[in-house]
Amino acid sequence: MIIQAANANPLNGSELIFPALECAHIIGFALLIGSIALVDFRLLGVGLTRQEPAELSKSLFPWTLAGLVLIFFSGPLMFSTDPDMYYLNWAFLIKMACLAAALVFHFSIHRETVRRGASAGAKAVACASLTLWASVVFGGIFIGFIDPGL
Amino acid sequence: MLSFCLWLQSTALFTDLRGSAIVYPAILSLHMVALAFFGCMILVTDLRLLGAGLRNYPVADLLDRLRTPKWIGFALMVTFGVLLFGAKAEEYYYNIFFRAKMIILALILIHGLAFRRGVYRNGAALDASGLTGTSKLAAALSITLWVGMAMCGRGIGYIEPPLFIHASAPARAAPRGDLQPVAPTTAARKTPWRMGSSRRLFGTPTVRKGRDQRISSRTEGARINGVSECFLPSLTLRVPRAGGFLHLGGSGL
Repeated sequence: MIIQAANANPLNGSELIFPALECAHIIGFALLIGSIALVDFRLLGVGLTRQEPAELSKSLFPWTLAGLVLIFFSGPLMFSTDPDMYYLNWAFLIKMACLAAALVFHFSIHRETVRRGASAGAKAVACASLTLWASVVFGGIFIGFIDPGL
Repeated sequence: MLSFCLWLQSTALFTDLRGSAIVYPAILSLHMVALAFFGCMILVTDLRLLGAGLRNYPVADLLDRLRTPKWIGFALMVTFGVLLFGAKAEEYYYNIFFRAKMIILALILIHGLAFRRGVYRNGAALDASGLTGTSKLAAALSITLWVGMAMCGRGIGYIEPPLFIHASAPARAAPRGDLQPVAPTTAARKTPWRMGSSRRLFGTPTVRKGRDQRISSRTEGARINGVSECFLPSLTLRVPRAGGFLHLGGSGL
C-alpha cells in the first residue's frame, strides 16, 4: 500500500521537484541550525558576545522559526516520494531520533540555559546542542548512502 | 587541468577516500555541518544590511564580531570541499554544476573585495549614516550568490558522470532481481587512461532524466528508462536517491 502511494504521488511526476525540495531543506536547516549555533557560539564566548544570550536568541527567533517551517515543509514531502525506502533506511531512523532529541533539548534545557545567561554549565549545554544538530545533519547525508535493501 | 584532476584522484589519499563507504559521506556531512553552523552568519549579516532583521544590533558589531568565525567556517568548508573534490576529481571536472559552483565561488571572492571598503569594513559609518543603497546591493548580491552556491552544490549529485571516466565510487548496493548487470570484464577494468582524448570522443555530460527512474520497489524495477542499459557491461548506473546516489553495477569503463 505504501508502495502504491509512492507511485501515485504527484511529486514523483517531475524530475525537478525533489531537488527543489532538497534546496529548500538545505536553506531551511542552514537557517534553523545556524541561528541556534549563533546562540551556542555566544554561550561559548565566540561571535556576538556584546549581547546577552537571551537577547540574541530572541532576536534570532524569527529566523529559527523560518528554518523550522522550511524543513518541516520540505522534509515530509521528500519522505512522501519514497516512504518505504525511508522507513527501511537506518540513517533516516537515526536522523529522526536525533531530530526529536535536538528539538526537545532545544525547547527545554537549551532555552532555560539561554535565559540564565553564560556560565560553565552553559558551555556544556552549547556543546551538546551543537553535537545534536550536527548528528541530525550526519543522519540526513547518510540516508543517500545506504541501501535499505528493498 | 584534466590531467591534474587525474593525477589528484590517483593519489593514495584520494584513492582510499573514494573507496571508503563511510569516510566519503562523513566528509560530506562535515561539509554540510559547516554550512549549517557558519552559513547562517552570512545570511544574518546580509539580512541586517538589508534592514530585514536584527535591527537592534549595530551593523559594525555583526560585521566585525562575525568576521573571524566566518573565515574559520569558510576554511572548514573549503577543506572538506577539496577532500570531496579530490576523491572524484575527474568526474567533477566534467560536472556542469561543479563548474558553475566554482564560478560562483570566484564571484563571491570578487564581491567581497569589491564591497570591502564601502560596506564590509565600513560598519561604523553605516551605523552613523544608516543603510545605503550600496550596502543593500552588497547584501542582496551576497544572498543570491551564497544560495546559488548551495543549490549548485546540491546539483552536483544529479549529474551523471560520463561513461568513460576512469575511477568512480565502488558499487554501494547490490542490484536486485533481473536488473543484475554484467560484471565488468577484467579487460574493461584495465583500460588504460587516455588522457586528453576522452573529452573530444565523448562530449559533455548530460543531466539525469529524473527521479522517477529510480527503483522504488521490487515491482518497479522495469520502470527504469532503457532497461537494456543495465545489461551493458561495466556500466555504472547511478540512481538518484534522497541526498545522494544509489550506485548499481560495476565501476566505470
